[in-house]
Amino acid sequence: MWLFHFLKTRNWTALSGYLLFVGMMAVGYYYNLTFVQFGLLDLGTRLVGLTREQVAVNMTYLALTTTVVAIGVGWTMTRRGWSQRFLLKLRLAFAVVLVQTLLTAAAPFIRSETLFLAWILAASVALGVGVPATFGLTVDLIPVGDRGLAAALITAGAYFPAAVFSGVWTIETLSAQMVTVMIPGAAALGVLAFLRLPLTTTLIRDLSAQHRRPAFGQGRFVRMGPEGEGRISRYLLGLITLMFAIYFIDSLGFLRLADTPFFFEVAWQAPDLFPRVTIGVMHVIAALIAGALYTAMGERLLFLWIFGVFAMVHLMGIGTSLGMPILYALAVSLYTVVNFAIWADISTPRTITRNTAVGVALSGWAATFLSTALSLQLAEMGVSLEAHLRLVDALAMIFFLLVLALLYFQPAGERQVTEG
Amino acid sequence: MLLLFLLLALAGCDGGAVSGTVIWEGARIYGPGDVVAGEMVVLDGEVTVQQEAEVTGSVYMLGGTVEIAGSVGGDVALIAGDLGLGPTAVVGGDLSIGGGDVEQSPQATVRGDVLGGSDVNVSLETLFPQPTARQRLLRLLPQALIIAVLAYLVARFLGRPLAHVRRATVDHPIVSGAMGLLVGIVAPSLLVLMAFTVILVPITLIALLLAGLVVVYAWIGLGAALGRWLRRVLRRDWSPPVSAFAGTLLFMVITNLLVFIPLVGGWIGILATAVGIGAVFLTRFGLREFTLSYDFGPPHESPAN
Repeated sequence: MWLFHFLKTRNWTALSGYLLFVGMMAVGYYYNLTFVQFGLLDLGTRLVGLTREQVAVNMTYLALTTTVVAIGVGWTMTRRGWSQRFLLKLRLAFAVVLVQTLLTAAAPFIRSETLFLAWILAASVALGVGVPATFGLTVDLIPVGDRGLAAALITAGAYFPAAVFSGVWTIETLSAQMVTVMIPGAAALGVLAFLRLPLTTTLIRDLSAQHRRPAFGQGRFVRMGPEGEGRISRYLLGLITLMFAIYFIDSLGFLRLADTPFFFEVAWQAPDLFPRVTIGVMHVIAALIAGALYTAMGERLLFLWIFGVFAMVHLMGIGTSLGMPILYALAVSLYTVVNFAIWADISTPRTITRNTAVGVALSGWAATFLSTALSLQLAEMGVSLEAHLRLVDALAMIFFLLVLALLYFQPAGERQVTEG
Repeated sequence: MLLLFLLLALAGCDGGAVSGTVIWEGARIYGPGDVVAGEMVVLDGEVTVQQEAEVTGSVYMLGGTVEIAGSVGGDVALIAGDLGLGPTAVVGGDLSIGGGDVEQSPQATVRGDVLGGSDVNVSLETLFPQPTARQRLLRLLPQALIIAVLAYLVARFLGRPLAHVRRATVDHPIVSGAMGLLVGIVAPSLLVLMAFTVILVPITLIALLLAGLVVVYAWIGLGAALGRWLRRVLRRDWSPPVSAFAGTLLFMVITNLLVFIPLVGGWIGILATAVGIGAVFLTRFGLREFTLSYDFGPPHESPAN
């Protein structure tokens, strides 16, 4: 593993870059899991006085704006060649963290719907810029061979504290918690991105050159075409498209569960520490499993395992024991690891920002937008929780059948390719 | 294992059919008007079901303290722990006492039968008897010998597949371990899922048998690796079946003895078995050689500086 290689060879530059990326992404993902997902719900319902449905509508604006901004920024960065400029991406990341820190600190003071909506729009623009800028740093900071491990560390680093320590999901608690982490983070990023000290100058110079090295730049699934353009197989593209379905189905089920506090009280927000630690440990184990398998297995088997576990968990239905959240944690961690690693591995340093923006925005944000919209529509139609979850299970069943069909179709080979 | 299957069984049930709440620790109070849907399993902690609170299913106690003044729709079964039934308590089904202590008010209502003492004599120890250290040691050698003889036969007649499994355990222990853990978590869930469909129960039984065979195959693969190492260290001219026999015998003895080390002992055996199971799956039961899909390791190039 490259991480141990860097330690053994005392390559502090590469090691700093590695840790910077893992730390930044883990905190960013923790922020999304807790502050964006539950803090805003608390802010909207308790302090602003909106209904859960109104908050959900506002969240769809957040998701949609983030998707549009991310794709626009990612595309522009690729077209203008900014994807390959490490320092620019770092400065953008700093700007995003700075804006997000200010917004996070200001959030508990919002009391009107107009301000709430303005906050959401400002946050979605920042998140939209942040997606291509931060994910784009993968090609500069994480060697191809360690992308599974780095993704596992990010996933474990975000899910474990989210499961274990965030028992109180109020906007005040989450805001104070996040600001405490984000202020030193923003300061460190600012020093690295803007101050021209001897140490930072050397660090930036060396890290800027890393994406040109074979171990870093070209993604694992990219094959170079005759004119030097990156290509990936259509089979892989199909698998990635299927992964979007995972996000949609998962989000659709989770949203409705979030409306049912009873499910949370026995697991994610259990008053006892044991269930929360168990779920957190399962996230860590599953992330490390996924990290090891991502690196070692071919795309077909890898995706089959992820899809299979996901479908199985949904087909098991929704019980109220701890067994279900444990299995759910396994499925979620598996596909989250792949989501952190795959975009850089289907890209070159030139295309990383565009591919990441499209991938993350569509899977993470657009899927949330669509599932929230559908969830609200179903609730308005008077569909009960049980019927809603049956629909989710039915979708999971269709998905499972598609996975079984995949077993019979072998990759068509490297000749069928598309631009990556 | 009991807990794992209990949790998985509850996870496998639809919320409307059988669902449950598992209480692990801490104090839980259900006040008037509170309804606990489905079964309640109390492993530890203090649970109070106050007057006009309701548990719609049954209450199973494996430990802790439960005070009931409200109603329980199903049975109340006590295996261990302290149970109190207040004057306003109503138990819709049977009250089964297999162990622990019960303090029952004469005014408490039990609509079914009260089973206990001579009727039922159930405790965790009788349900799941734990062998003593002496019994374990007495069983160890014959068990290890049986598996070692199997290893000899596998190496004799299925030498090539076994070599694939052995190489995967030695060359890729982390990947094999990861795959083994994944299979170890997913397979029991899948078995529970299949068992709940009723129609797949026969397949579940076959799958259980296959799972057992996979575990034995994994031990043999690990034993073969250990035997090969032994052959080299001892500088013996053993044939592959003989080294598989010796290695498997040693592996079985070591892992069974490790169980006596508190806390970590059992886990070492479980992790080793996970590596073996993963190797069996990665090599598709030994039918092919496992190779990494791409060589990602640090090359001779130093990436920076």
